[in-house]
Amino acid sequence: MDVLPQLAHGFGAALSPTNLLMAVVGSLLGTLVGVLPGLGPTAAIAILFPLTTVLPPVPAIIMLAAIYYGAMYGGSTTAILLNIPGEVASVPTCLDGYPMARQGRGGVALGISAIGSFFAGMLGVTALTFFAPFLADQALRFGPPEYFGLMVLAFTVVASLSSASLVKGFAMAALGYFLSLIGLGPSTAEPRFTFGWTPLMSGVELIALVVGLFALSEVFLGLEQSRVAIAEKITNVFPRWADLKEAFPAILRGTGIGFFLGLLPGCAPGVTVFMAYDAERRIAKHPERFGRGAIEGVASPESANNATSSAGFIPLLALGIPASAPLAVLLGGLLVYGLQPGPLLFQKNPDFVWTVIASLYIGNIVLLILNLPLIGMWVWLTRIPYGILGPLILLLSVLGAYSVRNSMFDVAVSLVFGAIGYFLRKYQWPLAPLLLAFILGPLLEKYMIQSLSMSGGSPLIFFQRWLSLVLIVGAALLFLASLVLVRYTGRRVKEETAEELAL
Amino acid sequence: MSCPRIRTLVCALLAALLLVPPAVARAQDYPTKAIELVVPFVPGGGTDLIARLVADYMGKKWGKPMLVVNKPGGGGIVGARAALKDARPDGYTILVDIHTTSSMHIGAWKTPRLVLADRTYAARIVRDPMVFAVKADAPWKNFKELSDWVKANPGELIWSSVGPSGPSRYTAYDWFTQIGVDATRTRMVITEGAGDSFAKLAGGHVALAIHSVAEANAMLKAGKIRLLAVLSPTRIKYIPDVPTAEEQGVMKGVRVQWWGAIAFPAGTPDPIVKKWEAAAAAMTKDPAFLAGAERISMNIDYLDAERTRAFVEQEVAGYTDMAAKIGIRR
Repeated sequence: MDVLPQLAHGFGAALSPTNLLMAVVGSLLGTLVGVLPGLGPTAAIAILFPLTTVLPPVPAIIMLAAIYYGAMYGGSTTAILLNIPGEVASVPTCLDGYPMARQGRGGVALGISAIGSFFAGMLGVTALTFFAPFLADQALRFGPPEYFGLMVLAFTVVASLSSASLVKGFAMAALGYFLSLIGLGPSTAEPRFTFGWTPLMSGVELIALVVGLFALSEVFLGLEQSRVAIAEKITNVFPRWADLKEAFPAILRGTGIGFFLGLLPGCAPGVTVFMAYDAERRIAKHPERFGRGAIEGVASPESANNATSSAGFIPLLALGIPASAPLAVLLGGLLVYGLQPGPLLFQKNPDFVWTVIASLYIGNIVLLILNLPLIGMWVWLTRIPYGILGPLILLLSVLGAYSVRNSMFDVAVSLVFGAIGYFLRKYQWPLAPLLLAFILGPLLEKYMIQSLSMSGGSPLIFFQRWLSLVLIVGAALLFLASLVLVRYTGRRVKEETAEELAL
Repeated sequence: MSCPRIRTLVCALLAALLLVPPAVARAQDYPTKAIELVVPFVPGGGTDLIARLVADYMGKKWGKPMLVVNKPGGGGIVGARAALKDARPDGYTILVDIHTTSSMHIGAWKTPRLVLADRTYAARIVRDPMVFAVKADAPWKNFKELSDWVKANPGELIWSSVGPSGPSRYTAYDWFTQIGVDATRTRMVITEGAGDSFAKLAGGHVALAIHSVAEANAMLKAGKIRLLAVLSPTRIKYIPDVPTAEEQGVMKGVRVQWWGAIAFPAGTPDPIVKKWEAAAAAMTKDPAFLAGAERISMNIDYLDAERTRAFVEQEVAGYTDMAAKIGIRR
């Protein structure tokens, strides 16, 4: 295939003033919406989608893609500066990004996050350019048993997310799993823990939970401590050479993990970022630095986030399978314009496909150029007195919780979890395992039931297929390894600081 | 405590004053403000796409904005209730009602959370039939061959459905019953939706997937799957080469299909419903609208208000019967 001439042609079209403007406007709008707590890429695309329908297809899709990238970057910004993840994929970023910000290195964290995202995005799009149809076929080989193995593997992350105390970590994971059970069961559609109450039938909304546990509890804590945002002066906005050197291998690893897992439909950034963060921590020479402002802890999940999102374009464009919620909305956008994803899209609408691919490169570059200078502005955000910022976050959080599915019930849910989150954090119960189990629990259940349906009830199916066997054995080994690691880390932290650490 | 009661009474009176006068009298001027089209599912799905198509077309025609509002959850019942039970019946809240939120729900529950009397139909606009899909390189050449193979090896058929009581399950049940196969001997894998299900089919993890024409379109054009039959009285223009199940002598009648209708809360002024009925009739003949529908492979098939109601009533009877026989009616 003559990829390069086609791509050059695509660049020619994407660089037209109108299309370039759409990429810039999209990135800005996306970042703006993404900065609002609770409003992640899905919400950003869904809200701004009607706006793009007045445009012709090419600029509209360019703008949607730019909104998508921008919203993800916006989510990381609040995660780092305010400890409020705009979406699930930014949760690991909070773990080290926020401590960095409190040490006055918020600008560096933002810079590394932008550079990591840029790098991962570019690599992802390059792979998309050259291997899209081929990679999409490989992804189809993952059946339910393989996904089950993958989820078991992901669950071992709980162990290392609970550095303060394994018991606390697993208790929180159990709570998270329990919360995920509420609603209609994934395969039986049997109502569970709904007590005959219709609003509970649709379960606890993920975004409402995130907004409550992280954003609202943060506001309550902040008001209680009458916090002055981040007291330390942020001096150096751009990462130094030493920072880059430290972060670069982590960016590479995060990109790799995020990209290859991101090819699998059903492996959303919410899952891969946790795995990337965990991998970084496992291989670190001084794992005790994590959770206290380790730059790798920001670089790796941020890269993984963008790599996963870029990789998701491959099954989307080549097969029409959206790997995550925002991509499903994007798929809707493509369909409305009569662009049916699939190999035929590459043959029937080559101009369109290559223009979009070119614009993904451009979107990444635009985002980097826009965001590095804008870091100063985001940092300024944290200097707003908490008395003003707190209520503002509260308002925006409630708005975010409402807007996901236009439901007041979700606002109530987020308020309840705001209160719960406040107490959990006050008494140092880690929130990350709760959220991880909340996301992974239903997936684990679904893939297990699907596998067992395939085998007619025999659990041997997990061990008869080599790929799922490898994944499950790997998970068992990793779990044991992380138990040892967690003990070691806990001891080191106590030695150094004589205090318990909570994520 | 008398105080809150008085306050409630005053509020109710005020609300009543606000509510009563404009609704009935002004049907002539309708619409005078933005109309909300409630989609009880996430953005990007079939219901959402058809709603956006209608909103775009009617918004331009009447010169008033039409907002598509997604209220997903509870298999569509949460959003459907919000539109039919919680909204004012003034014609400014419309539900894009489909089989899942109406006939299928009513058939599957002994005490459904929404009944037919809760809505007033203006028109059915879409009828998207079910298709039987296999992997592109599957050994069966036609639907008859597949049916014969399943009759001989029911325990070896692994097929994917969406939810335990979705259209795939009912279609499969109807098929198994008609060809004399015990459904419980086959292996059903419950998936998240058509996209998930087709990915499993294309990857060879399941042998058969049953979804609608529009849902099958992506994988079909990608060359990953083949369609053995369409469950419809006549062939569908988007897939002219795919014979119907009846043509192949395997199944008789159509008991399951994907459809979408415009529904209002019960009690909406009749002139407004009539206005929508006429508008939908004109819309479904307009080439500009049909071109939009073709882009999303939605089979436009208009039924007027009265026939829509009769059609849904007939479906309710069918699903009630099938749900009881499958053993999923509760």
